[in-house]
Amino acid sequence: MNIDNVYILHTFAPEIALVALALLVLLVDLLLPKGNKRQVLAVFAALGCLGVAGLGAWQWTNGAPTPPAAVQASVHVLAQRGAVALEAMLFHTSVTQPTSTAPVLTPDFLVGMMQDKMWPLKSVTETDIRALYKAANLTGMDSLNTTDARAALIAYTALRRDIVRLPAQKLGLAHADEAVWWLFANDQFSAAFKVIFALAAFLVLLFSVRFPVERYRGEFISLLLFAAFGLMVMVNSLDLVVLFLGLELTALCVYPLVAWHKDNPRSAEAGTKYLLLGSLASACYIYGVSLLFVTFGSTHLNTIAADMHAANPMALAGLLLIIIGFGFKVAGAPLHLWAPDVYQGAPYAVAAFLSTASKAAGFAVLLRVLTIGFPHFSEQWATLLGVIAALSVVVGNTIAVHQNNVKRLLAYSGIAQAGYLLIAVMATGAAHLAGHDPIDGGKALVLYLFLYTVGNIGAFAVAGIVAQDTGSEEMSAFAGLRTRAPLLAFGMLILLLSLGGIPLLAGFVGKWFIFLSGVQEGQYLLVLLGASMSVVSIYYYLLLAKQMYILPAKADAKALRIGLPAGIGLLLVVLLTVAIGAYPRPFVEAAQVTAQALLGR
Amino acid sequence: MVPFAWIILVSILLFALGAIALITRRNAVAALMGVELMLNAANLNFVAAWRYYYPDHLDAQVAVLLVITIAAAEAAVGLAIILNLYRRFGTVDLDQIRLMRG
Amino acid sequence: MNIIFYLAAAVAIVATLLVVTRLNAVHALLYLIVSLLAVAVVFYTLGAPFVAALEVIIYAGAIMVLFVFVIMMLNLGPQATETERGWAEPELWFGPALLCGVLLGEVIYLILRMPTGTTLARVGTPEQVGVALYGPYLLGVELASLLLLAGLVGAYHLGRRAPHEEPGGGV
Repeated sequence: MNIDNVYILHTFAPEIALVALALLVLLVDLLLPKGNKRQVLAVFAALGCLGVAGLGAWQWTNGAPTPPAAVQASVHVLAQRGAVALEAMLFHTSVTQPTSTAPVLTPDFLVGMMQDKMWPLKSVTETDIRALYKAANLTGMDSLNTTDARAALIAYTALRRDIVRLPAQKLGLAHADEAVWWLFANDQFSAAFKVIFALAAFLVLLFSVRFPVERYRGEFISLLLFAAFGLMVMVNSLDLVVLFLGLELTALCVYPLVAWHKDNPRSAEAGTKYLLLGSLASACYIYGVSLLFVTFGSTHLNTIAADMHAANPMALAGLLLIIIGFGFKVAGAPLHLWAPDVYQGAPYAVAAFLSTASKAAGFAVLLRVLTIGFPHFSEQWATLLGVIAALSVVVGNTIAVHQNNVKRLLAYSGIAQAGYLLIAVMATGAAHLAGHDPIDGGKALVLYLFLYTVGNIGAFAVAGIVAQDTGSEEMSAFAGLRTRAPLLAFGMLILLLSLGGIPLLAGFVGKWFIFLSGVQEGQYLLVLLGASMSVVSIYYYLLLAKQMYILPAKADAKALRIGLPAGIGLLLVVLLTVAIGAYPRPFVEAAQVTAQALLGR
Repeated sequence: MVPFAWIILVSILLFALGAIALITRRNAVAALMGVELMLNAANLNFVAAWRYYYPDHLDAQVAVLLVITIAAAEAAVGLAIILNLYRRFGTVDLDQIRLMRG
Repeated sequence: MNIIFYLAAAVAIVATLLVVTRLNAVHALLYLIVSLLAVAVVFYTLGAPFVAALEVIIYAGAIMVLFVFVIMMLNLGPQATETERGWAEPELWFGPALLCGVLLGEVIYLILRMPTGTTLARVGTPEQVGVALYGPYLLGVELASLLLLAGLVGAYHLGRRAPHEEPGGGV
């Protein structure tokens, strides 16, 4: 096997493992005799997901792999061409500025020029220039790592705007291994989210053993795995069209998953609603991308960032449509209307996946697209996201208070959580505007997404177990859970308190960092609104706790069986929630490193 | 050549009409047709921009190919879901299908 | 060439407008096919013959056949015979046929005045698109194949009859 293939294998190890697992599940399902033995298949797939999460973690600790020699060579050529253009430009400036002496191309000189406002390319930062300089002149290709190479390319794409507009093919990126480098980020940010998605799939599969998905378990599992794969592609891609492929891959898996229960008409209704509104969102997204292509001639985030100088109305319209697409994905108000109905009709396992992993991917991609592709529009998108965040927090929390159906309660609470998370995304934009370090917002976002994914899947699982046992999705089904299943009730209590943000549990730590990032950027009103609404949320979480702990069980209620796989999953979820709350430091540090990979300069 | 603005106008009209079809049609199959129209409008933008401004960026045609593929897959899955809906409810009229609030 | 574009664009918009306003799903579908064909002609006038061909083959061909199938299946009720009879009504096919006639005229005109050389073929040939597709976007192609597989599995599950459903009952 040649070195380039090894590079691709290394870069996409989690994704390839996940797809292989999905295909294996399909195959085994075809060969196995029909029967209930297939629950074993779900456990097997869950363990496979755990392995995929391990691969993701391995990628995260090792950082991005070094690209193969062919890529490094073409980057080297690009960087040299960029440097030549740079010198020509410098010569031009030295002619128009007779006071300056003959230009010496040192980084300090270039940075000085930037500070003197003489620099014609505002979007090229100091780091880019240092990297370009390093790549072109000082060092050979041995020490050229991906970050430098990418920075050099950003600089080069910025430069080529004034030389000639060149597409990817003309840059010499003609081979698949180079495409890996060109179209995908492969940074620690995406590796961290790969871990989150694989963990979410692991938990959802463990819990799905408990839920009746009839005889079609193999298809169910493989579609869930494909959906997780699509999410990984989304967070990893730098090209908006490839991102669309990932988005649609997930969507096309989730539409049938929502409509899975053939004997439940609500499931069919929910599937249709999700299909129509989801297609509307994806169509808005791709139309926005096409408008960006009209403006910039590329759908690549780096090129868009490099070519953008002033607010162009068509680019703004494109950005707005893209934000609408993701706003739907993360269920932020006023694009949240689908969520309660879809969650209510969908199987519990699917609702858990939708409200966590899918939402997390939406936020991760939103952060990447906005901060990497559209830093120049920070003012516009930060304002827009601030409005959506305020609406989501208020709408989600106030409507959740009136819910009797546990799934709808969790859906509205999820809308409110989306509001808190949007505050963090907004804080990065505000930080960029004010010239601060945007890492705090990113750190809060990553940390909260992790603990929210874990905790919310657990809450959905408990709700599913109770609903399956009592045959009712109403809150009253929880009555007297303390006596029927004391461990389950205690676990649910911890998860609910964490979602509500009680100190010493994970949710508090997450909210603390989110509100902190908001306060640092002077968003006092928004943070005040979020904090006061989060008090309201404690009220409705406690309503559920009251059912479990204070109200008596029905006379004919029996003890509730949980099952080993779901029990292990719940134990894991509760332990993680307590661990993050009690000793947050390692998690915060990991989130910091992850955010640094995306936002660090 | 035709002014570029005309092509963008056509594309925006197609997109808007597709969105209107998707939102207002009560028949689920007709609503799904709106999605196809919207995706098609995006394709028109890609091809027009390629032709007028970026003739050597074949990325546009690649994007169109991928969008067409996605549209085909989405139509297949969407129609399967609508067929499933019809089997449960005996109708595809979205106004008559209201088991859940909201 | 300009007049061809304006005519095709007008046909596309009129047909799309009718997709939105026709109450009968079959009518709407026929106009949708016309709209897609008109956009294909627009692609051709823009100098993208490959995309135009794909538009006709995949959109107006494959996807629309799928729609026709589903609409026919949904109509398999007591009113099926009436719908059958409705096919003969001129109001159903006259509008689409008229718009299609305009497009056909355009295509004939294009064929007649087509120069002997291949002036259009300089850019955007299938070969160039293929090189781009299997070069930088190779992984995109792989992703598309996985997407189709996932769509297949999902549609298979939904299309399959549940065990308790009677064969032949329902759709």
